[in-house]
Amino acid sequence: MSEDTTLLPRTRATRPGWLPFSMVVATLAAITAVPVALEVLAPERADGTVGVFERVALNVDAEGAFGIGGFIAPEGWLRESDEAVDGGGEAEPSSSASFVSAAQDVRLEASLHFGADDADALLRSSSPAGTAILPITSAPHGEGREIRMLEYDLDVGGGFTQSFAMCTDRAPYVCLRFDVEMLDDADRPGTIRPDISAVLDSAEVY
Amino acid sequence: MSPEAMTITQPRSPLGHRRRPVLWQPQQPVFWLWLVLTVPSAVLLIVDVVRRTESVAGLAAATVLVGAQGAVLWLLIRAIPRFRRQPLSLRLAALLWGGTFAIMAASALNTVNSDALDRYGLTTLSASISAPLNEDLLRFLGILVVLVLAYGRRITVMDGVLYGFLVGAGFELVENLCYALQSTDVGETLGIGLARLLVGFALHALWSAFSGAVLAYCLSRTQQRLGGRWLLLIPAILAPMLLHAAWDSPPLSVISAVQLLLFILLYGVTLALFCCAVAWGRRSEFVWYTETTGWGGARRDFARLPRSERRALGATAIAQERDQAEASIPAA
Repeated sequence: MSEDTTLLPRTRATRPGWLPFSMVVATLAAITAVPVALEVLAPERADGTVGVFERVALNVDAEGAFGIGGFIAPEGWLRESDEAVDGGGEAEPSSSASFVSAAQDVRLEASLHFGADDADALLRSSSPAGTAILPITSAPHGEGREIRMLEYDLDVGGGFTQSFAMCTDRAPYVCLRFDVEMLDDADRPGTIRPDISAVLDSAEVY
Repeated sequence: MSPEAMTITQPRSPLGHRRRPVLWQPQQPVFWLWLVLTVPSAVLLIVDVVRRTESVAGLAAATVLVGAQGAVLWLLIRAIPRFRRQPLSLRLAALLWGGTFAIMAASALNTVNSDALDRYGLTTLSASISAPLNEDLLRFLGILVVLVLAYGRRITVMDGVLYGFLVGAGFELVENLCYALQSTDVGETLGIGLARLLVGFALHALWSAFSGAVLAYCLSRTQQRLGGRWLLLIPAILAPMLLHAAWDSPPLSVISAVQLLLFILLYGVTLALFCCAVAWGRRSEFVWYTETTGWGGARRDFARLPRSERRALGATAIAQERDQAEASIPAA
């Protein structure tokens, strides 16, 4: 194998000349112009606004066991907080995140729990006493894991609340809980908002 | 044909011994483009490296790691072509394009893109949008520039593989050096350097080699007046971009094992594409060899010969082609 410095016959190869030069310059101009144009045309965006495909990861570390959960935050919503909260013991949230919709009409709080008996027990444990007789149903969401839902509206005039929980298959259970609080009465009980449905579909817990 | 017959060398013409500088082509507009883009970028890169360097020990550690990677890449580069070695000046031109202009321009453009994409709520997807668009396109332009400079000689698919690999290797080496210099602690520098060395080794080079193979194929067909088949460039550009985008994409799950599996899958696909490109390149080189020498044997017969003998035969073929080229140039 040796270095090739052979010239082709001049009659055989017509050198490309200015065409590749123009192509390179045009491409460089395009990839420089695109971000500038995007920047100029970009809409205003409030600080803390959730972007596309932003995954929230929560974790819990209690009794020597470790659990992780996560979901894709609703796009366009505002982050209220996403600081991890240290677990104070069994069934206490060890990590949580909360968001409010852009129209400020819905608030979502997510929290990861360790040591609950099951999803239903978790839902009952931190819901108002008045919900004790309300049924817990299955929500048609979640990939591979059942999501349980408790819906209640205990105060006249305000919105209603939907709580969801999904847990791991084996004890000790790690459960992910969502509390969705409707801040006005625009939404009707019995239905799950599309943005909340997307959050539930993306939820995972291990 | 027996191996003995294959080793008969053809007499070389006096002109055939003359070595021509192949990078220095002032009549070629892309040569000036290469010069204008790489020289200032090289200066800026040196300034940037000096600015990033917090300690001599850190720089030494980063240099050793990048040097180790460079050595492995060099061994790969030596092993890829079988018949003819591409001109040194063009190999350096490819390496420098990737290691100076492409990396510096990509770095600046990625930053601007990132700011713009943040405002569209695409923060988490920013890397997987910006990096493939800027980095892969800039490297592809480098391969185009070098192949145009090599156009005066018969282009084979192997030329594209090798120049593509070199553009990507230059890019990756400097990128790793810059990453390693980001930390102030020598231990951390070593950690970052090792992680960059082991996770996704030579990805940029492997992706560019595939693009280069297809580009060289199109150019070689144009050179032989067979029609460029330029539509093949769409997958040649898109495939590395999509692999790069997937590599840089946000995690698909909170479980890190899922991401690891994705990395393994993507690296496997990348290696498969690269191996296909190399096999294609070797076939193309062999076609060049048989057309130049008129040899009618099989490729595996040639591959069985000792390396030194293969080199000698390759040198003979190059001399023959050179002589044919000189003979066909009308006297002034």
